[in-house]
Amino acid sequence: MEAALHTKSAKQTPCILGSDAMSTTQAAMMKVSQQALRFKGTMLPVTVMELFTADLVALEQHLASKLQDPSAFFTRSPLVLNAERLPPELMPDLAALVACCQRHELLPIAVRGGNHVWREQAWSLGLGWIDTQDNARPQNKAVPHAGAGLIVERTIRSGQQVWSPKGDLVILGSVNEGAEVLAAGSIHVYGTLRGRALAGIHGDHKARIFCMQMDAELLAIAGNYKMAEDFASPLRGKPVQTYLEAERLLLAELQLPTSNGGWRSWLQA
Amino acid sequence: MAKIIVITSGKGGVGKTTSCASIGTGLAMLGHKTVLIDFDVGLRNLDLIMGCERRVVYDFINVIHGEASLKQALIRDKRVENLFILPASQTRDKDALTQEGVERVLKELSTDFDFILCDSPAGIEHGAHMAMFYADEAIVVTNPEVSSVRDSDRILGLLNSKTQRAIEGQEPIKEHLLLARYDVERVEEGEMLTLEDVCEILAIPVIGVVPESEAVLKASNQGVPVVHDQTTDAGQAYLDTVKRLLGEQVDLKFIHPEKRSFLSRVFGGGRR
Repeated sequence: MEAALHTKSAKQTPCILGSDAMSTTQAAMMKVSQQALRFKGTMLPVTVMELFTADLVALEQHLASKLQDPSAFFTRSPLVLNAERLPPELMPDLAALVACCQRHELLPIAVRGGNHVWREQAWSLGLGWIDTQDNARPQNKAVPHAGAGLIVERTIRSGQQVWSPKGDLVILGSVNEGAEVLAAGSIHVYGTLRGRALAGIHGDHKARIFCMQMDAELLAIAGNYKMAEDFASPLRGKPVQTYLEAERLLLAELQLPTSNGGWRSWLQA
Repeated sequence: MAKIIVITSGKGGVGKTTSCASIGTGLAMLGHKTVLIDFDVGLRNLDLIMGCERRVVYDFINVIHGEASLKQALIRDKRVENLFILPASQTRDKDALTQEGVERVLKELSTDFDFILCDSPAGIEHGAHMAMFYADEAIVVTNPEVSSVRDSDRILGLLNSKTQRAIEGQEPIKEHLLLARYDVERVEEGEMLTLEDVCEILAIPVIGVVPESEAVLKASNQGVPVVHDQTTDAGQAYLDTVKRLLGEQVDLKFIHPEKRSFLSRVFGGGRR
């Protein structure tokens, strides 16, 4: 076996590295063979059968007609039965449904959605239960955009678009005229904002836009926008923050920190 | 290996071809073997500015299509040694520039030239894209007015995303700002953007400031790059630009108004 392995590795890397590489490979193989099994998280493609009705007769008829088509590629393939679209009080009998699937050479392996009765039934039939899509990502709802920000260390030039789909967007440079920056969260520009800035693009009303020098073409937060001619001109060229208050987009000069805690009071405001 | 420099701007009429001719001539004058390639297929001008329009037999497109060899198409400059021009075709359009063809020609030239200057057409379409694609450095020619600055900004964005260096994740293209047609007096009067304004927006280092000068138009019409005439302000500005390109430290000239005596202010009348 050693000889076989050696020729193989010598072919792949025709250099002195060969022997060293082989010993590591061998060690790894030994380690794997000593373990009886290994668990791996993986994403597999699987066919999902979505149920729109609890009527078993209708389901059976539909399956029969669907599977008559010779191009039906999913016969004998594992299947997840998805009942998320059905009201929980109106569930088809799972045992009958599974039997119906098996008659048509489909192999249910798990169910998704449904009520607790369904879940128990699935367990007794030897099927798995997969959490619904809504419940699967509870954190996403609680914290809309945590730690998924984007930091860009350059000037954003005319015609360029930078997009932070999940969190804040920080730009260490300017956003030039004709450029567009978008973020699900807030936008911070450590330079001059001359282009268009759209914060809270998924509807976050608490998002804000900060810049060291305000000269924007357009500002928008959660779909509320203002064009350049709508802002007060005294703010141009100044450090400015933009925020939403009662669906109105407001601009305010950023106050520099003072010894009497001025900027803390601004933070709380 | 030659250094490939693209002269580009986005906007038309800002002085790309004039700058390309003078910078190329300046490099050759300082002893560097240089070739100028006109990428403005269909609207060629570089041959006129270089004064070799009557000597064009074969062009860049002929070489790309294998109808002529580089040796046949290259025109040797009559004034300076070490300077060659590869003219564009006047009868074709930009689509005749194929990426493989451009790459092959540049590779072939790279072996025996020090500098290859690509004179880009205006715009951001295929011709401009081909001119910048294989560049190592870029000279962005800008005039001190808002539309030119915005177009240069757009071009800088493309240099950072649509060139071979950007796509293959190599060291980014070295960018230089060449501010042309700078009229100090109109800048002083607030009619034009200042050097500082332009630098702040474009945020790239300045390689030269060329003053607005009658000498440039005259030189273009005669087909003699203005850098040949070192008595002119524009000629000096271009030679300084070339020196900076070669790494020399030269102070910027022509960025402050000349001090005029009281009498000349009283009797001198209007602007030069």
